[in-house]
Amino acid sequence: MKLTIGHMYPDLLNLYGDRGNIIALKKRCEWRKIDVEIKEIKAGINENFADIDLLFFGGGSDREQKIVSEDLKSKKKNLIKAIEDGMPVLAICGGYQLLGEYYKTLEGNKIEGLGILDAYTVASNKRLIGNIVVEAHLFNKEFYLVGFENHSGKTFLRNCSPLGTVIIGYGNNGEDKKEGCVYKNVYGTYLHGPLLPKNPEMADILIETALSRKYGKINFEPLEDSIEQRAKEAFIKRFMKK
Amino acid sequence: MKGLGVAIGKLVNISCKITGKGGTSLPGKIALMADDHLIKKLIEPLKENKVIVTGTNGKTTTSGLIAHLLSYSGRKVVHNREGANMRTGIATSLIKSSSLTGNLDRDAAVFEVDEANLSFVVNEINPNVVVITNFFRDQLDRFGELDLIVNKVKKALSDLSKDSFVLLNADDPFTASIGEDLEAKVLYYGIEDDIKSLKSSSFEQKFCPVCGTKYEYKKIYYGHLGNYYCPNCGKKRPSLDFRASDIFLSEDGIKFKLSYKDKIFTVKSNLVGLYNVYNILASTSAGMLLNLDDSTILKAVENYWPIEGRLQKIQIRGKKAIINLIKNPVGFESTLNMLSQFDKPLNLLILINDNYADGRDVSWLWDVNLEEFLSKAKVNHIITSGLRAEDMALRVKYAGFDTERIKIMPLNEAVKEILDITKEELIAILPNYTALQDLNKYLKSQGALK
Repeated sequence: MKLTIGHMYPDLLNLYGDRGNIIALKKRCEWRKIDVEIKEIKAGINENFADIDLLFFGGGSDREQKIVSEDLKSKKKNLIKAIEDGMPVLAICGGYQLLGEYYKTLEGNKIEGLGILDAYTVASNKRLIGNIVVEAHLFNKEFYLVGFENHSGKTFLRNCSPLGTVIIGYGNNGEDKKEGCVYKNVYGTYLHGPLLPKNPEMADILIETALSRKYGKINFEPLEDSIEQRAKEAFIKRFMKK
Repeated sequence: MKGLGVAIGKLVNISCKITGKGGTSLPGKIALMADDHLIKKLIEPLKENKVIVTGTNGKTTTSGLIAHLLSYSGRKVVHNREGANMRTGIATSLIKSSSLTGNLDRDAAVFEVDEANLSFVVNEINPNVVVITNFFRDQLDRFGELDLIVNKVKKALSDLSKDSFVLLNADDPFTASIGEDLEAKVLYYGIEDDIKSLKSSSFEQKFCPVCGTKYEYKKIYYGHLGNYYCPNCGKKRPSLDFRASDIFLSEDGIKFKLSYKDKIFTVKSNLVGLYNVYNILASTSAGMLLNLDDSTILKAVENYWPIEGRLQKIQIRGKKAIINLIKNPVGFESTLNMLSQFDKPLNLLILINDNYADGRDVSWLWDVNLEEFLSKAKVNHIITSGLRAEDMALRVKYAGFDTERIKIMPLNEAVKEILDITKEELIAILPNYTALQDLNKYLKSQGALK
């Protein structure tokens, strides 16, 4: 079996160790003897997303995000088609914001998003920074997601579900206890840290979804995750006490 | 009235000494509460030899070297100690160098200043020379994004008078951009050499501030530092006032040629690694701007030794260990690159904390190209410790290191363990900032450090 993982704008969107998410996806496939190809999707290059099995979309600073927003206009049609067809996507921070309808800057200008998620983001003066614990329910599984958030945009969901409920931290906007957004197989979130190494459940949901979409029903083996679980437990024990 | 603040500060300093608690910031903190203008009042009589060093990497070494150049030239220097680089730390060092009536007993001042504290400090100190080393992604959770920091620093420097010098690293596009439209005299230092550069995964892409096109590099020296230009509008690295060339690097030290105006000097140092060429270049340049004697500067550089925790060589229970502070991806990678050049196999003890001074966010560990290092170097065991020991262990696991040879342990057990399992290997202990303090405290308690 083989998966092609698309990495959106790796040269522009690479804040806060998000490269670790690609490393985690790649290693967890390799440990299961699944071949992996990382395809870098860059600005100015045409991409139809037809051969992408799993897509990662990270975050960048405002300037880089503006460049990406411009470039996305030419990729929009094909990307929406692939997402409607069930392509799994993990979008973090800036990538998450760009999947929504728009990002309204402090000056009141709207940077257009893809409108895939029924959500919008408004810039604020205060950065929402810190460790975060979220309780997620996905695929009949209940688990904690842990990470580090760092964003000044506040995202509000309209007619779509959150990824989970904030236990510690801010989440989407620091107001409604919601964190992230789920639509079809698209997961948007503010969790850096990076997310996937310490939350192997989430990594495996993405890999398993990509494999079933490509190969139908498959036998998906769990991995030995003791360091991962130890890292998560240490995190929860330390921050949930407070 | 400056005597009051000083007296209070000195009192706190004495009580710190009695209680054995670190007194690098607390006396200043309390004294500033009594008199918020204390820094300005104490430093005001000093008109020359006032230097501020800021930037992400190299602050401590560069400011330490400049202070050394000044004292070697016969000046009495007030200099804040490593890490005490916020207003409170600066106030503390001034209090310790003043008489009880508030007279500063020094004729030179060198301060390393945290980027976020720069605007206050520049106004209070009115420095003769400001050195900016570089800006790397570091502790972003504390300061916000890099662009914002650069703008803040630029704003802080706009208050400087025409007589002050701003000495900038031309090889860093972010730092170089600060020099535009400043009232102060701006000079640039940089490297012009064919030296081989190592692959880094934390290369920070830079964009031309004029037209937004990606910079291209004729040469990359270290991280994103190099000789860059914009292929679209032609903007390029500023021309170098202080230039390092003919660089020779070895385990024993550094040698290079320094050109300034029509003069060429040979600089020799005991420090190792290409990044120290930048630190030495910045310091010697600052020394020249302060009108110190050229040959005295060169002699002072030659007999300067590394600071505690910076490539420090120690022996514990008869076993050789190297301690080197790692605090961001670039520093971590340059340490790994150096370790990979040794013939001996290695055992690593990596200590990661996430206290305020370290930066709360440890995701930068994933920007370090450990994969490259582990594929090149011979590493037998890795032990991780600190508040984020598990995160570090996870990083090592995903870099492909056999989990059987990874251990997570509290500091005291970790040190014992690495000594027990080490046979012919070289021990490399890599702490981040507050983890280095914990390590030193522990090693001293064991009599392994003086």
